[in-house]
Order: sequence, then C-alpha cells, then structure tokens
Amino acid sequence: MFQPSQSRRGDPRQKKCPFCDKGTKYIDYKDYPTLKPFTDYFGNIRQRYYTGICLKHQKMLRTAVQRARFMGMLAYRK
Amino acid sequence: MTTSDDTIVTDDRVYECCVLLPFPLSQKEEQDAMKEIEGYFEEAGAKQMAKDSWGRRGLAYPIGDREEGIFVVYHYEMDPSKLKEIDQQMQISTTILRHMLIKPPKGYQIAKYSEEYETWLKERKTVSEQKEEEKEAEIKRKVAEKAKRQAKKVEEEKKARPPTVPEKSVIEEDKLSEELEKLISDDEIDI
Repeated sequence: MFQPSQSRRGDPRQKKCPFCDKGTKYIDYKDYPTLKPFTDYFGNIRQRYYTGICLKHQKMLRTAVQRARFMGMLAYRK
Repeated sequence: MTTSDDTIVTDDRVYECCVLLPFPLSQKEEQDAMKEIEGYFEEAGAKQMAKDSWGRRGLAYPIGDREEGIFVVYHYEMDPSKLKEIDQQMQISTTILRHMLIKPPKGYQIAKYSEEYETWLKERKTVSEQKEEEKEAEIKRKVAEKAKRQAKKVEEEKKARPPTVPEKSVIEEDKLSEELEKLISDDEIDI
C-alpha cells in the first residue's frame, strides 16, 4: 500500500530569507547569536537549500563566518 | 598648505580592529597590552572612535595552547596608507594571539556586542528552562491520560463481570449483618 508522503518537509521554494525580512545590509562577524544557527554540528555553514537564505546574504554570511572562525569565535571543524 | 591638510582629512577612513589576547593575564599585563596596541595606532595618528572589551570568553578551538581569550574591538579613523605598518607591528608583537583589521561597510553603526552577547546568554538560559517546563507538562499530561485509561479499563472490567461478583457480595453482606445482629443481641457475651 503506497501512501503519498505527508508534507513533513515543507517546500524549500516557500522558505523566505530571514535576513531579507529584517532588511539587513551587513552581517557582522562579531554577532555570534545570529551566526551560530547557520552552522551545523560539524561547524560547516548550512546549505542555502535548507536555510532559505538568498544568495546575496549567503555570501555576506560566508565572509562573516570565515572572519569569526579566524578569531576563534566559531569552530572550523568539530 | 591648506589644500594638503584638507586632502588628508578627506582620506581618513574608519577601520575596525579586533584583537585576541591570551586569557590568563594579570590586570597590569592586560592594561599594558592594550596600551601597546593603542600606541601603534597613536603613532599612525589615528583617532579612536570606540573601544569595546568583551572580556574573558571561551574559544571554539585552542589557539596557542589556550582555550580562553580576551577580545578587544577598536574602531579607528585613520589614514589608509599607514594600515600596513600597524598590521606588521601587530604581527611581530608577542602578546597578541590574533588580530584582524577590517574596513566596515558604508553606513555601519558601531554596536557593542559584549552586552548583546550577555543578554543573549541570559535569554538562552530562559529558553532552555521553558523547554524543560514544556517537557514536564507533556509528561504530566501523559501520566494523566494513562490514569484516565486505567480508570476506564477498571470500569469496563466492572461492567464485564457484574452478574457473578455483586450477588455473592450481597449475600455475604446479608449473612454478615445477620450474624453481627445475632452477636450484638446476645447478652451472654461480655466484652
């Protein structure tokens, strides 16, 4: 009996960029609380596909995370 | 002369400098290190806009065999041509673990992240407490449901065996009451 999978995972196309909603123009590397949820357990940056961030903000996030990693606020690898 | 002065003023830009100092430092050493860093900027003729010392904070990975460090964030307005000298001096100095010089974007407002971090830590604690409370509430609800189910089961069992049990009990009760009455009515027994 095949049952259509109930929508446990939402449609990734329906996600909205959390930074666009706030209207952020610059993501600061010192802002640990905002950066932390966009990194996974191993310290990698989460994929845009899962977080729903737009490309512009993903690039900003990347530079911020790289800077934070250099200063020892975020881990390179766990 | 005046034109050259004017050009220098217009050339000044805002730069952000983040410095990581090793944690086990005595207050004197810490102040000396900060003075050293500020000295580099003063030599270059920089103007301090803001200073934010975060204090002791854990590192995500050990740097120089140290698990904790002191972060200090400076905002300076200075001539971009002298940036290289400061960078080299900071690299040479032994007290600084890591440093980073950054040009913040246009329209950047200097914010103190040390306070924000502390507030975030407090909020995070409250959030975890809330989660625990929710968990406890769920457990309580489950227990209540279980109790209800057990009560229902007992009732169903009672309904299932009404014909056998109660008649006997009624008879026994009658017998018991009769015997008790007999005993009570007997005047021979002295208690």
